Amino acid sequence: MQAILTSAIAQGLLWSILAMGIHVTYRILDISDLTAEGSFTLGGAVCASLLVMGVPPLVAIIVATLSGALAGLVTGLLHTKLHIPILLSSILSMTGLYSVNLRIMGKANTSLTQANTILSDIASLFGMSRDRDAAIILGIIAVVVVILLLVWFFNTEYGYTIVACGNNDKMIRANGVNSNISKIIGLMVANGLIALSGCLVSQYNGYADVGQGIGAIVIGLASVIIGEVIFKRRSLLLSLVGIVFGSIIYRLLVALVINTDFISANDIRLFTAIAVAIAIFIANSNMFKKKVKKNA
Amino acid sequence: MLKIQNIQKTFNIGEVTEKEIIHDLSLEIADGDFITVIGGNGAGKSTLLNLISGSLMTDKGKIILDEEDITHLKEYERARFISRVFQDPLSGTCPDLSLSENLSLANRRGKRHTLKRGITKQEKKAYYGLLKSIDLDLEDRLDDKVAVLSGGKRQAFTIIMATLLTPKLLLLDEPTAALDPKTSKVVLSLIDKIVKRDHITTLMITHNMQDALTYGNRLIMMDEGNIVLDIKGEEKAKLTIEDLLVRFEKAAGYKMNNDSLLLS
Repeated sequence: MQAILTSAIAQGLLWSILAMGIHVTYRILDISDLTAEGSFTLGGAVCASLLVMGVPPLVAIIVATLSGALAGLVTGLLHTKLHIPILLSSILSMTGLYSVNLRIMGKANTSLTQANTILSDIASLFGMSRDRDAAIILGIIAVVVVILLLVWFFNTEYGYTIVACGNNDKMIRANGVNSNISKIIGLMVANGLIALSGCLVSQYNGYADVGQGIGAIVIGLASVIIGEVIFKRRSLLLSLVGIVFGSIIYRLLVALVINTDFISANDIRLFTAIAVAIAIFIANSNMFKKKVKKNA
Repeated sequence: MLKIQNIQKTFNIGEVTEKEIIHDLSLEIADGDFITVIGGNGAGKSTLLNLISGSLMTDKGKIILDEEDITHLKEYERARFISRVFQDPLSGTCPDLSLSENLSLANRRGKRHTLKRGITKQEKKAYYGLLKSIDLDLEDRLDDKVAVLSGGKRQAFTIIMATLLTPKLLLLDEPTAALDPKTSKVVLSLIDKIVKRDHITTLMITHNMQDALTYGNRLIMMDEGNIVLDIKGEEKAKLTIEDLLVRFEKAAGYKMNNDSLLLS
């Protein structure tokens, strides 16, 4: 039981950064960005390839994060410069990234068992016997850093323009902001975070896999929604903290479900998809009720 | 101040639905003019405002603001000199940001947005003072999200935002059409007060003929993409609704369809 709990907390923390990226696109920019599926894998692929080459883990993490931002840039440019609808732009990026990820790794799976990862660094620093024990420490550090950076960023002059651009494109252009650039920056921030998450998760898993991003969006959404159930959407800080709890709760649920007899690990994505569909339906019908009240 | 020279705008060029909305329109606006714009549906009023603001680009002709040719400037580039208020109270503000955060966006209209803190302490104090002077009970709600304001308050707040940095030109597209008559009056007198106080050159579209006569120093009436009436100063001050109807019929060649304009 304790092993399940520790693993759920560790995975929840590392995956919560993905969910924060999803929050930036889905909630703040108000777009459904499927690039996430590709950039999550991209982060893992870039990071694993660098680690295998003996590059210091911190450098690998930074490069992986930047690679995700680049993927977001591509989606943003497809949308704003070529005027392709955002959903399709992100599907194009996601599809293209599959090949890019295979190119980067040269194969479908890169093992990290022989490589020096950030987990082995932290484990040796704290004198831990197993690398995985360091995952919770790594997760807490990463989550705190990311939350602080996001809260800072979205309270700057530029951050406001991104929130406003997701809310009301027309208004922000009337206020002299090139909303295309705000949208692109938002996509870069989001996919940078998602790649960072992919990179950390790969190190935790001990390998990067070309299929690790499949279902990432739905998993991220599940965490965002569970977080909103707990904390509502009062402020960005609370939303982000809620996402971390949401992500951990999601992992616990998954662990519990897998341990039952009739659901296997293979069914998890179906289980998640159904749960998210129901949760969004309930959230929407609640919103509808509130609106009616306000107008009355 | 603003010179519009022979502009033309056609929608859906080359398609079956091709429609010329603005046909060779010229207009010269003097510094400090407060112009009310009336006309039936499809007369081209909103298109004219959209062409001036740059949310639509002209097919032909020039737009010159204070000697600077702005014809090819993009919408967000023109925002440096031009402020806008839309008909829908929801479209002028950002609901997920607080009142003070919205004001901070307006306070940086047309300026570079940096990674500095979005609102400084002095700024917030200034906003408090400003809202207090407007007397709409908004000053204690600076930290509330704009989403919680009522339509009328929200539109009044939009007008405060649009004029926070005094624009060279203020464009109002039926700012009170979505409001009830009482709120509409509050918002219009706020507009009048600020426009006069800051001496802002203004174009305001309205569906309400009485409002068009009450406010501003100049009235233009549009029909089928042209300006058919342009009445200024003393003459405008004495104008009645009956005069307007008669003069419209003479200029346009047909009786005005009363359904599209409110007579009071």
